[in-house]
Order: sequence, then C-alpha cells, then structure tokens
Amino acid sequence: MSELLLEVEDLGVSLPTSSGQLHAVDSLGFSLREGELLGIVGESGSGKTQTALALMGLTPAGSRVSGSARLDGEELIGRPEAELNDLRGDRIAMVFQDPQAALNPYLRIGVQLTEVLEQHRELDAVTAAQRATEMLQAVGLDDSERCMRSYPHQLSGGMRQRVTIAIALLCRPRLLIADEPTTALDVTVQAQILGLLRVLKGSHYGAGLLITHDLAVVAEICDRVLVMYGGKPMELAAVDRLFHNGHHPYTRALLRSLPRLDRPESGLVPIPGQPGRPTGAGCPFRPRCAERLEQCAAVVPPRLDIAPGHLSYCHRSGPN
Amino acid sequence: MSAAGNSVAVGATPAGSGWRAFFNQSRGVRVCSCLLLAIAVLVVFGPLLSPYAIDQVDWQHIAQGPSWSSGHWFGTDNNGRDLYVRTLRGGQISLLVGICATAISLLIGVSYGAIAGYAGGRIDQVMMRLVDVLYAMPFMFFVILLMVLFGRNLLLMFIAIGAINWLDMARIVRGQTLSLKHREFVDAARALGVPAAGIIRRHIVPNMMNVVVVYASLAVPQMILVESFLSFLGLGVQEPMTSWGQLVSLGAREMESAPWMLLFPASFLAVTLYCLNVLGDALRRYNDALAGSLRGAA
Repeated sequence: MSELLLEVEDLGVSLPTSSGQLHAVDSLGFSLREGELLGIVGESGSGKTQTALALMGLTPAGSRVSGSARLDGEELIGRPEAELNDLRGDRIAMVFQDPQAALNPYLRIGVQLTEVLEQHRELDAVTAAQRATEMLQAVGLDDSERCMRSYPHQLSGGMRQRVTIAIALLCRPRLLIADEPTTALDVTVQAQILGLLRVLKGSHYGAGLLITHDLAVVAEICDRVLVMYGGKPMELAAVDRLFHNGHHPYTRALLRSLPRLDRPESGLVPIPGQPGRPTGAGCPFRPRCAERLEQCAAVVPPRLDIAPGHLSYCHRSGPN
Repeated sequence: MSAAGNSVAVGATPAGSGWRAFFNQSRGVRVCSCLLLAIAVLVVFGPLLSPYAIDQVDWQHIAQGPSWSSGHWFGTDNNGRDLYVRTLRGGQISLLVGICATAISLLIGVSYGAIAGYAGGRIDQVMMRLVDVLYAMPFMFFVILLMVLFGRNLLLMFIAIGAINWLDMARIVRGQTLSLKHREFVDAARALGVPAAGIIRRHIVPNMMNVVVVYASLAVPQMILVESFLSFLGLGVQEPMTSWGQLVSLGAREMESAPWMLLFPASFLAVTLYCLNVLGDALRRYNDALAGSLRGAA
C-alpha cells in the first residue's frame, strides 16, 4: 500500500447564522493515499465546499472548525495564519469553480503565476518567468509566451481554467483540491480539463480531492468517492463499487436519478423532497429516505464496514 | 458559455477603451485637455519669457494697467511688481498644492481605507469611528490651528490640506475594499498563501484604482480651491511667493480702481478649476462605460 498523504478525522465546521450555529460539516472522516484522486459528491449545501475550505484554512470569519486533518502527518486545523500561508500554494493548493472570478482581472497572467513562486520559492524574476512558462505548457497552453502577457479577459474559459490549474500546480503541491473545476465550463472543455487533472497527477501533484455534484465527473477520473449529505458522510467506497454495489439509500437514490443511455425506458427517478437539514440528531437524509426506520430520527447512524475500504453510515445493515 | 462571453468582451473593448475613446467623448473634453495643457506649459515656462522677477519692483510702473510697451503684459500691482510673472509663479504654487495634497490624501486614504476594509470586524469599527470623529472637526479651524502653531510653511500646507481630505478617500476605499475582499480572486490569492499585505497591495488596491483615480482627479481642483481660500484669508504662502488665491485676494481689494489685478489671476484660477472638473467628470463617465461594457461581457 502506498503512503498515507491526508488523514481527516472527525472534521466539523460550524458557521454562524442568524438562527444560531449551522453545522455545515459534521463528524467527517476520510483518508487519502499518495497518487489517489478522491471525489466528494453531494448536493448544494451538503458541506463539500466547506470541507475543502476547512482544509485550506479559508473558512469564513466567525466559523469554528473542529477535528483534525493531517497532511503528511502535520496538523492543518487550527494553525496560525502565517504558517498556513507558508503551506497554502506550496504543499496544498486549490482550483476554484469559476476561473473568470478566480483570476485578478487587472493583472497579466504572467504576474499571477510568478506571484506564487515569489511567495514560496524566492526565485528571481527570470527563473520564475521561465518556470511559469513551462508550467503553462504542461497544462496544454502551447502559446505560453503570449499567454503570459495576456489579461484574463483575453483568454477563453477553458484556457483560464488551465491557467488556474497551472497556478495551483506551480509549486508541485502534495494535495490539490479542485472545487467544481469544470462546472463553469462547457462539456467538451470539461473533458479536456478532467483529462489534464488525471495526466498531471503524480508528476505535478501528490493526490487530489475533487469536489463536484456531477457523478459522471467522478466516474470518469476518481479512484474513490465520498458521498455527503447535510454535512455528514453517507458512503465512502471505490468508484466501481459505489456505482455497482452502492449500499446507502441516498447513494442508490442518486444513481437512480441519473439518465441512463442503456436503459432509457426506466426513465428518471427523482429523489422526493428538497435538500435540507432536519433538526435534531439522526440521519440528515431521513425525511427523504424511502427506507427510513424508526431509529433514524433518534440515533446517528453507525459506521458500517461493508467491505474493506467501503463504509456506509446507515441503520440498515447488511447488503441491500 | 464562457467562450461566447469571452468573444463579446474582445468585441466590446476596442470601442470603449484607450486614450482615443476618452478624448472622443466630447469636444469639451478635447478643448479642456488642450486648455489645461496650455496653462500648465505657460505656468512652468511662462515666467522665463518676462524680464521681471517675482519680487522685482518697477518704480516707474506702480499699479499700472496691462501694456505691451512697458513689458508688464498683465499690468503691475500696488508695489509695482509684474503681474504676469506673479500670476504664473502663483500658478506653480497652486498646481503644486493641488497635486501634492491630492497625492498625500491618496497615500493616507488608500492605505487606511484598504486596511480597515480588509481587516474588518473590530479593527474596521475602531478605524472608521476615528474617521467619523475627525470628520466632525471643523476643517478650516484645524488648518488654521496648524498654520498658527507651526508657522506658514509650504510643506506643512500640503500636509495639512492633504491630511484632511484623506477622510473622504478612506471611506471610498473602505467601501471598495469591502466589495472586493469577497471576490473569488482574493480567496484564490489567499489559497496560494499570499499574506494580507500582499493581497491588499497586489489584488485589492489595483482593482479599485479606476474609482480612486476619478475621485483624485476631482480632488485636485478642490485642493486648489482650499489653498486659494487659505491664501485669501492670509494663511497661505508667504511673500514674496504667491498663489492664485492670494493674488485674487489682493486683486479683490483693488477691483474698482485696478480690475486687472483681479481679472488675470481669477481667470486663470477659474479656467483651471473648470477644466479639471470637466476632465474629472469625463474620466468618471468613461470609467462607468468601460466597467459597464466589461460587466456586460463577463
């Protein structure tokens, strides 16, 4: 087995709202090995983005982060800002959803790339520019010299996302977090960007965390999947196993709601109800769950070890 | 979708950006730019054309009207000093005060406002309440107090005027910072480990320069006016140096017997202020149009 790169245990993020603390992420745990790409899937408000921000130390002001997340054995949660600044961009980097918004509109691409190198590598301007140009070529921007001199609005959406990936990978981070990196792009560009993330893994970054609401994206490039709902983990399994032997009722409902080309007659089966958070303990999915039991409202579902590496958080034990 | 948006952006830029677009806004913009440039050149190089010095008394021509033959093109004042030289040298001081005081208020206001806005929370509260307190102080009283305490010194005047005008600048900049700091590229910069100072310097301040420049361009005439007012009250620059405000003040006393003493400095002052205001306003309109076309494309 390869080396353990990221270990998250009992992660919790609570955000202040007008109606009290909201537990955006609650008792989340997973681990990530060298060379692995883990997909985190969930609906809007399932806490997947807050998970990523908690790992980066970028949760909004006033939020509280609990639990532990260790990158190569080093604790990330609760570090002072100055130490985090040394880590961020260097050993842990992030790609954002909307490349148009994630790039500073008033700075040339070249400046935005070399800024990272100045911050973490203390390179002189010439070497930094050279490294940045090489990196742009690595992400498939062949006209990298011209690209370095361009402003963000002069590039297409796909090119911009390649640029943000280049920025994130400049220092060869151990962990790359991609938060919906393809949502703002059209489908053909999406496939290119995903292919790029897969190709660069290992050579340019250690392991990746891909946050998405799109199961197709997960199926395409991830090794394992974590399904989240209402801030809690639902199921964690290898991609093939999740798609073919999903255990959790939520996972199976999600898969049923996808269009299938091979079985068009079965149609789409939506999950009834609206995503939301029931108050009180218990499983957050229970109001919409077709298979709920009495204890679902009262007791937090236990962790079930379905198979090696396959976890599910549900009161219904045994194979379904 | 974003690819289509991008092509719109490229298509929209040529019509709405660059110097040419700025000057093409209206004839007024072009005329005012030329006038202002002419005044600036005249003020800087004009005094060299006259044989008289700023403090030179011509005993033959005391309080004389403009005349070509005597070499006193704008006439002389009560002490027989050449008004042409005095008006232009006074213009040097007035323009210098306008530019320097604006620069000082920019420097203080932008850094103060950006820090308050970016830090947020209690620091922001305390910093902005301090601005409110300073706002409540009668501004002229403060300047006069400074002048009385430290004597009449040109540098001090720059600082006194600039140090008071930064309050507006700080408020504007703080507002801009508040809206900018939640933009995704700021988060992206934080995710790259750029510390707060770097984010303010590299990402926040450049992104609000369009607004700040417009405000600064409108602040320059305001500063000139403040200096003129101070000089009018006798608190401005010291003799033999002069400024437009001081000349207007002296000329106003003689306006019935010697109207040229008021007319020349007052016209220079009025034309300059008018041009600066027109250009500042044009800059604001140009900027709004540009921001609109960029927003529409994004």
